[in-house]
Amino acid sequence: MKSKDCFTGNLTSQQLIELDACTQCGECLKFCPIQDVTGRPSISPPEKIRVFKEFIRATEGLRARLFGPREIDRKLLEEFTKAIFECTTCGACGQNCTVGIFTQRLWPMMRKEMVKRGLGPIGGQAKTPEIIRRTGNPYDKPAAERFTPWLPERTKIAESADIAYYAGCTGAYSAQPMVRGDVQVLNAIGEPFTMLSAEEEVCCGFPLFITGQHDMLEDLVKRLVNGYKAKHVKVLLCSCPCCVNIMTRDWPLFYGKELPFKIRHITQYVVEALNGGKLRVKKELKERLIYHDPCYLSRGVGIIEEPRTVLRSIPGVELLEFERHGLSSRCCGAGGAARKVFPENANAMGRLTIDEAVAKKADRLILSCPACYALVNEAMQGHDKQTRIMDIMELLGSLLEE
Amino acid sequence: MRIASIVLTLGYYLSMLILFGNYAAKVLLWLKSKPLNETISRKPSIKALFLAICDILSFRRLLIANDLLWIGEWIFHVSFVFVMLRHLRYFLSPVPQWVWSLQRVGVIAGYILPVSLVYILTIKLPVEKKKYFSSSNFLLLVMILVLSVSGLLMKTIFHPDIVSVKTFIMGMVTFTFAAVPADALFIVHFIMFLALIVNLPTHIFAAPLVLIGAREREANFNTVIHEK
Repeated sequence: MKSKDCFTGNLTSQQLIELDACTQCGECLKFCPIQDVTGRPSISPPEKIRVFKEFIRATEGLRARLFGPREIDRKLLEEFTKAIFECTTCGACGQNCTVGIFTQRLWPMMRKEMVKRGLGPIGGQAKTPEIIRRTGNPYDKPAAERFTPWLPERTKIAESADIAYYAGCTGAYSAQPMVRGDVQVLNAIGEPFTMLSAEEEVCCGFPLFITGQHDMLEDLVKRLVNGYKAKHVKVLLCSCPCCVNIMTRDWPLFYGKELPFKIRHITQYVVEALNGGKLRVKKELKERLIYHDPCYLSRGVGIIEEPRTVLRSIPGVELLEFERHGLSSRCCGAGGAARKVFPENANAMGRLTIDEAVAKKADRLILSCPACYALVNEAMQGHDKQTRIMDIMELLGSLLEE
Repeated sequence: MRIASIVLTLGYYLSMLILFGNYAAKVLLWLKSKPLNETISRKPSIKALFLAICDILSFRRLLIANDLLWIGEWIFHVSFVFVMLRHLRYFLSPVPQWVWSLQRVGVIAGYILPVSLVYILTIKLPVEKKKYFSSSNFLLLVMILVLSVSGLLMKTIFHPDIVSVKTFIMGMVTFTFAAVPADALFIVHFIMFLALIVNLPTHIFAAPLVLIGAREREANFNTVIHEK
């Protein structure tokens, strides 16, 4: 692909207008977690928009239309690609944008454009499609190890049921206490649920979507949706925010029509069970808990109150809040598939989360995202401040145990 | 002055061509772009539209982000609009009554405009040097400052021949050539106006549309996973 070719093929008209709407005020920098740890304005949201607009102007602007498109400097393209992939795509900039640009959606589409041009993704991200094609997950792990290490004994998986549970690759392979907690809680609620087999439960597509590599998405989504459809599923439960996000926002696009079942985050289901008397936490926990909102759960799909309701249902718990929480939560560093490619940034962001939890004198830092779980645990290693980290379902599951 | 008149008249037409040409190029892009790639309802509602209009008029999102800057920006934008409306009397003949009725407010806005610009620069510059510095924004603010100060000087001290100003502008608007007034301050003012037209920030038109979209998105946010 030539650097003169158009840059707008992956953007919607709304996103093109959004590019023009940026006032370059720089207010979003106050909320950008990358800025918190790097302080480099060259990778800030307004600068990315300014540079991308330059690319559009050079190839499809008035002068380009009258006198032909201009060649864009390869180094500038590479620097932009690095900047767009260094972002965690957390969307805090858009949440606080003075004109309301939906950046959580814009950055992945810019990434897709740079992938189309052969400039992205960066580092190990480029191998993800091949790994998923081969193993069904982005961690290059065999399907045989997907469920067995963590699925609680005596868990009864129905052949077909109204409710299905999708564990997700990150939970299954790198945040196993979290998915074990999910199933413990589902077992405690007692409704029959089904799961796809370890071979059938492939990647939800989010790692590919977020790194701009969309080629396999339709196939993955159709395999999963048809698998659940065959099991007559009416509600698909999942605890991973990234999976839930792509399932609700993008699966219907790749499936080609409305999904034959509803998507629910596990905390929604647990709150219904608590309200309906199907679940009750009897054990007391006299602790101060601080809950971290995952970006793709709070800003992505609006799950903000449910995790708090679950935590408040535990007798004795005092719930603390981060300064930035709910819709304004600060990314822990795990977002945007940048964790492995820019580990120093991710580690520093994770430590900011740990530091605030420690400063607020929380007994435990409660997470509800497998990527956050893995990242914050990594960031804790060798850090001078320490706190106990636990997933929300891991905690709830432990309190329900006999 | 004849050469200056020709250059400025052609400059006016050229700047207008660039302005409309740029927007025509943008509209072409919008037309050939992909359809909305979202499954979430963007159903417009009267309530969302009303709230969006309130956001546009009040700069609410900027108020939340930076209240110190907000007051300066809001006053600047409002006074800028009134100054522009006041200037319509040079571009229209006969001048509508509502334009006449805005003259006094326009003059007051003309005094406030440079003050608000200086305030904005005072608030932004120390912070922007540390954070994100937008040179194009800075140049634009300086350009409007020169434009407004030159206008204010013409209003208060160095009065140009207002009849020849109107004749010159109406000549351009009606494509009947007229000589530019022999007034250096007016020429500076006019050149700054042309520069502003060419560099008119795109957010003037795009930001209101995005603010409407943001309100629609917020209004339908609870349907992403909660009520579907």
